[in-house]
Amino acid sequence: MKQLLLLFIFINIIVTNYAQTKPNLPLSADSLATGNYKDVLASFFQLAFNKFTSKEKELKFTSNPFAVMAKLDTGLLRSAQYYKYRHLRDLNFSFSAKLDSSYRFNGFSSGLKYALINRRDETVSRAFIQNILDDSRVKVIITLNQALDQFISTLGNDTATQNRIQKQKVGFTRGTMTYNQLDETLRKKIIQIAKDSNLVSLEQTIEANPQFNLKKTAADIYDEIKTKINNKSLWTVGISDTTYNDHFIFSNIVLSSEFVKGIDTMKSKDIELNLKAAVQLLDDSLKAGRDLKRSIFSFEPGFNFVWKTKNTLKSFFEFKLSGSYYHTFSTLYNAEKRDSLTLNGTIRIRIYDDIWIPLEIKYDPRSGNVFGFLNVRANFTALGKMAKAFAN
Amino acid sequence: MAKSIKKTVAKAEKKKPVARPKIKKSFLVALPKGIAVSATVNVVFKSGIGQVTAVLFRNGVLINMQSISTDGNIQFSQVQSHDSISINGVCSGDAVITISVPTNPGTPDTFSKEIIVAGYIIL
Repeated sequence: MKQLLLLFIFINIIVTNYAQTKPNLPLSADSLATGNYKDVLASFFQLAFNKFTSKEKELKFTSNPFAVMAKLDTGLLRSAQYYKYRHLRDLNFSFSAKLDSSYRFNGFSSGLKYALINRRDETVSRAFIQNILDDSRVKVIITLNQALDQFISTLGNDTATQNRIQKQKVGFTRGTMTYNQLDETLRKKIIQIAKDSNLVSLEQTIEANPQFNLKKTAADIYDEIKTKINNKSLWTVGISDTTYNDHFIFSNIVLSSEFVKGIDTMKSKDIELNLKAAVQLLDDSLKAGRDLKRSIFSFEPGFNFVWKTKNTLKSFFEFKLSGSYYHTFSTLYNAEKRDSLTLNGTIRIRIYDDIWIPLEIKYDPRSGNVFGFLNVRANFTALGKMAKAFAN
Repeated sequence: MAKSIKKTVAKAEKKKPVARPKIKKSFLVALPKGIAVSATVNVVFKSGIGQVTAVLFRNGVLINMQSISTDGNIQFSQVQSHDSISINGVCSGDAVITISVPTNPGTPDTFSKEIIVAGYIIL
């Protein structure tokens, strides 16, 4: 009950914060990323309340140095600076407070993670820009826009007509007017441009759908190309540590590496390959004193199945199926096996634009034990808001 | 046979050249009517990169076309009332476009993670 109340408060604070500062969250390309990807590398800020139904809870904050620097100096968001410091965006640092079942402090944890390969950041990808400009549908849109502006420039002798047509054209390009809502003069001109410039696809599209919305069509093309970028490789290496609650000495050090790559993309479903390997150094409680002589290697290959909304292509439900292999290098505890396997499932449900609830379930086929962890993760895309504030 | 060809060619060469019409002022579609001023299209990309192409049209004639792929200015040395500036491109973050002279619609105009399709009339 206490956990549910805390969960409610946690979500409420975040949702209220968004409701106050982001009344209408626009569909941003960042919001098209999967929850699994966001857990591997945070773009901006991530606040997580992990394992809040278990005895060992964790309140974790993850960010990257660039996000913090840009928060202090918005000039860094200018493209030249943004591109220059792109490698800082590939570095994640995290801090977390471990809590016991009574929500008392039970240790401090920190970590660093660096993306050795990150082909998913379209914001600094020249190839992404070129892919969009080279797309035949984008060329049609640009040709149409230029031809309409060329036509409007011929109406200079009749200011009233020029302004009326311009108003309609602005509405058309900004998506507030569909093709069938335009004046007949402008509709005929668009068809004439399509014929003169050999824009067959545009003519066919308008014929098939008189409610053709230029802005929405352009946005769909942008998102489609962005989705292809979302499937590219991401490979990270990281180190994290945990201290004891009574001494600032490491009780646990984890060296990890994670790889994510989209292997199949469908209109409303994606499949991601997820490989994770880690070496964990722990205190060997068989020996007196505190040390890090117990070492465990783990390897977790899995597939993340992503369900997306049909129109906005946002992931709303994910299911990761993976297997874990553990190998203990050091002296074994009583009844402990050197090698063990578990079958894991993680369900991620998106309850708000940037808030995910991942439910992790681990099943040990030998013992038949099932472990479940419920988490909440909020990804803050604060840089977008800062950029708008900076623009104003 | 070769002689007859030579004669034909010689005759053709002797023919008077076709009189070309003299270029008059009224033939120029881009004739400045009002005051021509210089205009700057300022492009600022934020939280990402982008590319923008600006095209100046006057009376349906392409006067000038320039592209930019970083923050900066596109300079049109002479624009006048009723000219049209077409702006097309893409931005992976935000793009703020500001034209230094009054336009319809007005600027600055902001675009966010999108294909940029816009046009402005010089007032």
